[in-house]
Amino acid sequence: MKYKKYDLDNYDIHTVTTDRFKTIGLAVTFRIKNEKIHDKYIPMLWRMLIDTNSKYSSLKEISEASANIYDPYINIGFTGSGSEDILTLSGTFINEKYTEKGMNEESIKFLLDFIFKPKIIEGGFDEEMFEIHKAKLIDYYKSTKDYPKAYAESRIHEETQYYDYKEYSLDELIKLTESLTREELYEFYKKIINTGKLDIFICGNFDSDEIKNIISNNIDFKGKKKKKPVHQIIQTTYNKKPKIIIDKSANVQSFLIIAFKVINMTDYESKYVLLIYSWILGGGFNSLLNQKVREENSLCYYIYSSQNSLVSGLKIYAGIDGKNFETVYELIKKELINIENGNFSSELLNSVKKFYYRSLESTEDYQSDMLNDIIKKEFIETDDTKTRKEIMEKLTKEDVMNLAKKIHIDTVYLLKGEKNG
Amino acid sequence: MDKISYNKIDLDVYNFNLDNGLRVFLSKIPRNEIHARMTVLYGGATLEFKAGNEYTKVPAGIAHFLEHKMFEKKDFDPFQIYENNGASANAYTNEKVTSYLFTGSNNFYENLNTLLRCVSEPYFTDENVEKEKGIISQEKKADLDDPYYIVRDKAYENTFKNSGYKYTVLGSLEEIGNMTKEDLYKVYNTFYQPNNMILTISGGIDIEKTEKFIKDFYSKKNFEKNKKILKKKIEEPETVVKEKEIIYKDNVTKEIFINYKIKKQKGNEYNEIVYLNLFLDMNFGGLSELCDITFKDKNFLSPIRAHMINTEEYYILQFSITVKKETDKVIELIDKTLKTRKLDKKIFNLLKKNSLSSLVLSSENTQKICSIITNDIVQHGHLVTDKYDRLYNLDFKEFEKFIESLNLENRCIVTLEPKKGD
Repeated sequence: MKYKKYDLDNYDIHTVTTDRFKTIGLAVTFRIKNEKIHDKYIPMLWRMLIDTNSKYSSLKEISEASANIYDPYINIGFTGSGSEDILTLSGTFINEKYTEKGMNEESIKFLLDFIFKPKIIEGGFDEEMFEIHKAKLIDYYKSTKDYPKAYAESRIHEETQYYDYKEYSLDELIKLTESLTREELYEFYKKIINTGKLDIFICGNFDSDEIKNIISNNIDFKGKKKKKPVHQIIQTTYNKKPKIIIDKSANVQSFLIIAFKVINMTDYESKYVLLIYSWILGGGFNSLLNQKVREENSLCYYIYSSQNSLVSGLKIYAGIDGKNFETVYELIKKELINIENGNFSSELLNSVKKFYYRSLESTEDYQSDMLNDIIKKEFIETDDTKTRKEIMEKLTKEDVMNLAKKIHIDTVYLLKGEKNG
Repeated sequence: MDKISYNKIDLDVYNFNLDNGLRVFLSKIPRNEIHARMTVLYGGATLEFKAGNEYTKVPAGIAHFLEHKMFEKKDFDPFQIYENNGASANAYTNEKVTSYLFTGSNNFYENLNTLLRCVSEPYFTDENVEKEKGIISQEKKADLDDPYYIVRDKAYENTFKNSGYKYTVLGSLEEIGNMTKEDLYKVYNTFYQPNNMILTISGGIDIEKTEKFIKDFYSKKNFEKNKKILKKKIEEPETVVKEKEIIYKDNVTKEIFINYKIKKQKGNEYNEIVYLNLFLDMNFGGLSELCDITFKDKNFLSPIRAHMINTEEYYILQFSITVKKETDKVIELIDKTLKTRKLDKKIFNLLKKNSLSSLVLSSENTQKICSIITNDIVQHGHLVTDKYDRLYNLDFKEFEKFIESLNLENRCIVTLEPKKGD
């Protein structure tokens, strides 16, 4: 594997050459500072970009163009990355060595057009497509309650404040979307293109200089090059008395989410210890929560934790019977105390470390992982693989216990099913 | 050991069969990780079979329950070993098979030993069966709240009269609650025999050492050679049990699920499966006329999701859609589109290109390679190594002829509607 960075006038191109794959993976990213109002635009913007394009007049035409070049995979999405919102176009296509000469350039052109050549008519996105997407997005928000997991996730999102503002509720999002115009959405698109930091990452078996020229020749980007943003959000406060919210539903199963805040986490803890903490708590079959709640007490099929180090947060998810909420909550709290007191085995710590080493090794096995690794190094300055392994080897039980003292329950949300199965 | 090559996709597979009947397929590709999968040719749709001298019937959901319990051991914990080696492990059950798998890059032979022991050392007690009931009931309850699973499960029940496909793979809450260790042993002793299993391994492996390891492992085990497995022959009529049913739930949206039940003819099954998938893509996928029509219709909250299911005697064409209103109009649109059987040679050739692209991509990672091999054996009984050429040479006229021959009259519809008065 060979990494090369092209420091161009307006943006950077990062190439990773490797002969391990038959495909070429591409990621185009724009980073802009996260703001509350972005949630008004983001769900509409990625939908419009992926379904409209100045070159095509229908979805069928897009599919035909795609099939003509061996159907590259394409996705456009936004992800929150701490204090930054990232607009990402991801694409994967078969290396022309396995199809026809010239297909690499054709595929790159095809993919880039989705982000750089949207269908704009008289200062706004295409009206017909805009109105269709708008109506469908509003219906999606209105029907979220039909899907317990999605609804519970939107409620905890609304009730837990990880940013310096409170997230919109579903009702607020519906009103905001109703008021959105195609011109306003185009202004938001221009804001991203004009003020965002652009990086392009590409991975596969190719000549780096050649692929860099293909990309730069096919981008008409005039934006100024921006400085590297800082992503990490530090949490300093939490609900001393956890906020407990219980909504009733006509479902059979209840859905529990517990949101935590990690107070004043250090860079080392953010990059290494929080992940290990999360895996010990609820990362695998032998994690504390899985053993206690599922295996010993048969109270759930799944219970797991998921950390987001860039917002200094962690969440626990479980599907349970509503009548067992208090029992499950108490068991979870006991396991949190157990980690704080070091009541977990060295075997468990060592096994999650081994899982971490494996994830480092398998990065080279998946093109998307290889790209993500380079993106993370660029965005949040993760250490190189060798350093990560060395640091992880030195991570101790005390490190986990110390971090545990900084992790606090902030909000507990239960979507309580009241129907018998 | 035989070396078998899949044409034009750079995929070599080494195959050997053990004396006990186990079929083993090994594929070395340049990856650090190794994926191994033991597939038992027993799934949720087989509920009547010969155990001992008599035919017996077991409760629905037993294949899946057994999958859970195979990880429970008297003197070792499979997950502990996998996790200590930094590997991830899992299992799944569908109507046809149960598969046990792991993915890891270190201590491969210890992981493989764990996998082989896992499927050959049952340990069921009243206590551990009882414990599992709470866990599996929770797994089932998630489906009972999901609009898609609610209509899908009912549609299977209303499509099949006798086939095991009429039951859900998880079974009902009642069936889960009534499961016994005796039931589990009955199924285990009948189906968990090496001659009813396929082992596939792909990744950074040493072929010779892996072969030796597997042979050594089984040389210490005693399995009845060539044990015959007799599944009860079930007669399934061409008609569906119930043509239409409406379920009411506290929902905002409406969910539609449609099954078309098509009796198989004695044709080339590989080509027929490809043709049916091309037919669905051509009429309901991104290259179809309907794609733009349904997208622009604000009543459609999802695209029309079209799939093909291949049971022993029937092909099932499945459609599921989420809409706001007018379910009858949507059902009529799908029916009319299917029965018009509009076939377009230009789109046929584009879809062929897409299929070739998918085939190349599917040989890119260890898990997909194990899936290709396993699916070939389960569906066709042998490795279909000329897939690329078969796809490349698909004939439009033969496609037309096959699609024209389909009987699309046996249909089952289930819709989920908001409760009246809501």
